[in-house]
Amino acid sequence: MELRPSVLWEYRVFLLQGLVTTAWLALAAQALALALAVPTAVARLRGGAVTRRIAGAYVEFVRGTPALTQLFWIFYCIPIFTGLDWTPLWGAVVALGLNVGAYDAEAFRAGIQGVHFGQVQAARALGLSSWSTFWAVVLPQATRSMLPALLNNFIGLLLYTSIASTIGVHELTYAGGKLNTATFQSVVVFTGVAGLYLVLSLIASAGVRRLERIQARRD
Amino acid sequence: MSGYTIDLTGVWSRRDMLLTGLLVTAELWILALALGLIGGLIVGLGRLSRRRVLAWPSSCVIEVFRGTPPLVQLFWFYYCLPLLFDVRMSALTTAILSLGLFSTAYVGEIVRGGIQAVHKGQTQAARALGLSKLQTLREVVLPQAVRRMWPPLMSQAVDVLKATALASSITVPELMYQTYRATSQTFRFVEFYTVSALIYFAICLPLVSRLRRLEWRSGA
Amino acid sequence: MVVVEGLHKSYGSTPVLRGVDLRVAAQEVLVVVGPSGSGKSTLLRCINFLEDYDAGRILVNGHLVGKREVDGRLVRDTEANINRARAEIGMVFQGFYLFPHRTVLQNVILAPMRVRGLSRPEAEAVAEGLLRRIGLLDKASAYPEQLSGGQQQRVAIVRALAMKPAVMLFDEVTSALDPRLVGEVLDLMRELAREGRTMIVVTHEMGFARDVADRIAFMDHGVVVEEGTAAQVLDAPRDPRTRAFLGEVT
Repeated sequence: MELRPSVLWEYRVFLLQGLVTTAWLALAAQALALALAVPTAVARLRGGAVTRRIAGAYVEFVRGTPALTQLFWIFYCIPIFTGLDWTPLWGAVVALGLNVGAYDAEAFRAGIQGVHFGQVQAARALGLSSWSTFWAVVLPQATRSMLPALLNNFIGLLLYTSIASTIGVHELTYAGGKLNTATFQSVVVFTGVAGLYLVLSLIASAGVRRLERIQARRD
Repeated sequence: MSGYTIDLTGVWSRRDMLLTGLLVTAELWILALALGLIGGLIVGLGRLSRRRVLAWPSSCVIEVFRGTPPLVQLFWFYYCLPLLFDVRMSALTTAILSLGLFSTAYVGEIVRGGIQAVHKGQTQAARALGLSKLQTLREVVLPQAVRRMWPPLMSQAVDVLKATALASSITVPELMYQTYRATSQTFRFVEFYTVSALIYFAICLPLVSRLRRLEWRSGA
Repeated sequence: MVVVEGLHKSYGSTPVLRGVDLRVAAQEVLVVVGPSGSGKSTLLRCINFLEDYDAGRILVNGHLVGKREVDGRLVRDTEANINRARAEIGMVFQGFYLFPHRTVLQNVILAPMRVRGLSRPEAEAVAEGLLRRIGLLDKASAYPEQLSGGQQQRVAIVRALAMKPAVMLFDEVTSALDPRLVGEVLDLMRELAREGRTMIVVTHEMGFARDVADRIAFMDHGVVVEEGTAAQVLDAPRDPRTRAFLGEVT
């Protein structure tokens, strides 16, 4: 078996395009996730009986089924229900966004519940309404404590974008697969692809640690 | 819903497919998890060792398998093992190995965290009594660490179950693979993927609710 | 019984022990006092080698602890030897550190069984005898969290005694206790002293020191500044540092 590491260099543009798509997919999904997470967390904490149940069911279902199953379901079934014809990329954005959204909602919930009740009491004593208290006092403090969890979820998301390759999204893993069939240099290709993900996650983790240290110093 | 009617007869007629898939999922899950628990204990302890020879490889395993997507790990083992070692393993065995290492890395971190959370005074008191390092670990540190490790370990068990679905990409005939086959035969996407999701959910639910109760009790 | 010669230790670039010399004879009770940061606890932990030291020698019962001579130099001893030495040295900590997952009885019998190789009935006999002596035999099946601080500390003392050590080290064992509970622990320590145990006690309790100590050593900034009988050190301190410290404490 001969190893040709140069393969990675020859096809660097192709791999880089996959990497860019991976990053784009992760960011888009994360944006959707954040948009979903806050209302879900609020619904679970302060919603009426029905909203609380629905939000709870959403979180439980996402946490209790494989991301791959969610991806297939969303990608294949939404067009059937809505007649919408979408690209695998958008299907992946929605599926991954819904997935991470549930985990981020839990992080928000924990962060909000972690804010000392004394803060709420002080704010209400000053005359702030329930709503203002939440937005001006609770949420800002909750954000600081939940930031590590959210960032760790994002790192997980970066890695989990790889499942989008199964529905034909041209991200990094898909690129790796195509390169493998083209060159048969499996070891080089997949080690290279794994290496790229590893570098990505190590950089992201280092960033998170930096942030945690900055936070700790400010406390 | 533009003329799509739910028809579960297709699902019912193919229930053996789904059942065999479920059995393979269970086998893959249990074996990968077992590998992960054993490997994780070794790697977690190794990471804490002061001897470089043990600490460094343990760190590497943990960093690599936590820092790369499990799907890519599966592909790597599936394509590269036959080339590197001239072995011909079944797809299932490959998946068990790959997911086993995936689980090892996460369990390793859980073990490390659990042990480090045990108060240093416990180790001091034990060593002061004359207990050796091994005796201290076995009699004093691990029993206390294990208590703390339960919730994250149960969480890991659920994660491994969900990861088994990825093995479908390397032709392991587990539940997702069978579901995919069934939809390509019948085109009944909604029915099959929904049933499939519900099956996973049904298995995870008791675990996750048990986990929730544990989290509440330990004050997480 | 215990000989400390020229003990030096630094944490990184910060020196903590700068040449400590100490001798404790058999059946003698030495009380070590001094301000925080003087190195008293570090000294104790070097004696049973919970902390490694940079220079000097420590001998218990004539044997070097923690190190052995190789070609005229002192190197770190083997694990087995260190463990054996620790079996002869009992230590009680400020934080008690009873094993929470084991009952009181199980706490006391663990080391005698695993280190001295006693059988369970033998170890239990020793343990029960000791627990009866401190009046806590009825708590033998209880877990540490069910006991008061004073009870826990007395169990910790008994756990160390069960090993039949040659010398007992006490590291500020009452500092973390509720004032009401301090007395029962000091009483037990007084009994042990009366029995003729060799003890090295680091404490802030001056009343106890005066009553029980055969000798008192005052430590400051990593050295023993002054040493003598209770009357000498407490009533007629010679060194200005000793006087300053005692002035603050009394």
